[in-house]
Amino acid sequence: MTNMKFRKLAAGTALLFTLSVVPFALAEDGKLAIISADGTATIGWKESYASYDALSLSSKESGTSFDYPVIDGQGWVVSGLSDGEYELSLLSESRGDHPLGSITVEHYALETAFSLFTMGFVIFSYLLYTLYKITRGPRND
Amino acid sequence: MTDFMLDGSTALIILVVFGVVWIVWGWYLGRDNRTIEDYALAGRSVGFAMATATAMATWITSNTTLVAPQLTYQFGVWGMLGYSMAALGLILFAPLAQRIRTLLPDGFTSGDFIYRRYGRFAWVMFIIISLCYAMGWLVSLGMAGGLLLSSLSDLDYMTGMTAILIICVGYTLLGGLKAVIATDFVQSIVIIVGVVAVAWVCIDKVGFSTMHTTLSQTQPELLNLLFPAAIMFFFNNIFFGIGEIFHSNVWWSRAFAFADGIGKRSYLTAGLLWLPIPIVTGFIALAASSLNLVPPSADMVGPMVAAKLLGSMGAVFIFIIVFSALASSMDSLLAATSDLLTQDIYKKLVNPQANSDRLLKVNRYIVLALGIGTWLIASLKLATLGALLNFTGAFVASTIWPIVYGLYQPKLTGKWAGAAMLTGTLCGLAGYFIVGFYVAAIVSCAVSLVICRTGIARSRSHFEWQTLKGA
Repeated sequence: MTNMKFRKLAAGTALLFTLSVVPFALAEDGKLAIISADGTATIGWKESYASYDALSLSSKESGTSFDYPVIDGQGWVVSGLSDGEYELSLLSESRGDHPLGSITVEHYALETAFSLFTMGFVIFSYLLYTLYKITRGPRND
Repeated sequence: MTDFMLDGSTALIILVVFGVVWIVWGWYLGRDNRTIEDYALAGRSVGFAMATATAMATWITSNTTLVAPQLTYQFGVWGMLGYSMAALGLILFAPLAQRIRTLLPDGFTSGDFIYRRYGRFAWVMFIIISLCYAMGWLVSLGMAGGLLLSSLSDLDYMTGMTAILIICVGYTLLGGLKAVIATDFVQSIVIIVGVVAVAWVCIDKVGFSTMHTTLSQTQPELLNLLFPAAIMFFFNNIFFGIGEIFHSNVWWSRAFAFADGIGKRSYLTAGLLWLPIPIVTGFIALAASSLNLVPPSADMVGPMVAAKLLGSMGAVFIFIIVFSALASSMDSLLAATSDLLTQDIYKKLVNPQANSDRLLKVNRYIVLALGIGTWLIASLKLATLGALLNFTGAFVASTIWPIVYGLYQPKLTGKWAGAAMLTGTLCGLAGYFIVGFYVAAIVSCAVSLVICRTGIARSRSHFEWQTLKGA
């Protein structure tokens, strides 16, 4: 019952509220090859994952590694990742490790982000100026 | 993880108790409704406390309790602050609310104003945008009700969705705007107490130091102020929020319903009170990694952290908060959309001679029809409706300048206002599909501004504000 609920939860709420589409693909060898421009990656659930104990995410650059629990029926959404290559693998004491694929994070260019930020700032400032000016100015009601 | 699953009978008891209380209270409040003004605009005499509470509670939606933590989980500090900037919509609407009440003392809807101010072409554009947005939000709230109540308890999707719709339609139908405002008042208190309690426990049990250390190691970008995607998201969300509030009849009907001199103060106070709420709800998402929680979908990070921190009581707590958040938005949308359809479609196009009794009856039928329509569409669980909400930013942001200039600038004509909404929406949608959701509202707002300014520069007409009162 609980697993069913979580499957429903994962599928349903993702449809409703997901604000960003995280691009991902399967590489030719069938492993996950996720590419992310915002440091977030979604790893969907497969029945075969249930026999493992943890999902490991390790950075190729720094060598640091973090383990996340495997919960039957649930995928993982990892976020806040910096630029770089990450290896995903499933860990199991009894079955050994199983490489799952990789995540490549390449954030949007800061120039692009600041261009958009500046554009937003200019329009917003103009809106504030307009509202200030017209709510203070003389009118003929 | 099973901490936040309520058993079906407990969930049903909570729903039945809430449902009966809200519906009986709605009937009690609405027993003196005699005219369409009593029913749709609460007699145009809502006081400061109720006015502030309803404005704030309506803006606290399921998005505030679920998407604010999601955006914090995805965009970190920027996501939390960016979402809270949606308060600017309420704050900037404050002077507009006063102006609306002054210009149209007998007005009913936002569409009413657009029709009188700009004429038919701009009105058609505006109604299409308004109804797309309202129906998208209404249906997705119904779907969210079903999915979230079924996710937090043993109730299935149809039971959860049907229950929340019956309750909200029930008290809106019986009590009109009076019931919506009164229940919003109580729901806003429940939501605020709930989210503050969760944040308090989060700080107490996890602590800032632990959270900072864990985030620095596992999710470093969430603390990075130069996080590109989050920087891109910031202003887009502001324009989305402003567009939602400036155009929607949910907020205009309140401007008409509040007593003289109340609108400006109420919207300003509601905005300032609302501003910290997404920071509080978003903040708890930063504790996820410290608690070794990884959500199956990003929007469930808030409830997961809360349930982990509060244990079995957390499930009841979250259930009540989420229910209150959903109900406070759904009732307002039902009331405002039924007003829009009654006044702008039925009265203008179908039966211009309809008297108050007839309009009151039609308004109630429309509330019921909206409830049934929402139920039918929500029962299909269409994935595209969630997506619809995401790109409504392109629609609603195009209305910001036509609304602002429509209220204050006498030179802008209907032809240019309609063109600004149409072109702004199309360009915003192009931005959405070509670049991404980060740009839809900004592009739409920018294009709409250029067209409005061009229209003003080329205009030789001068609108007489007095004609709004006499129409």
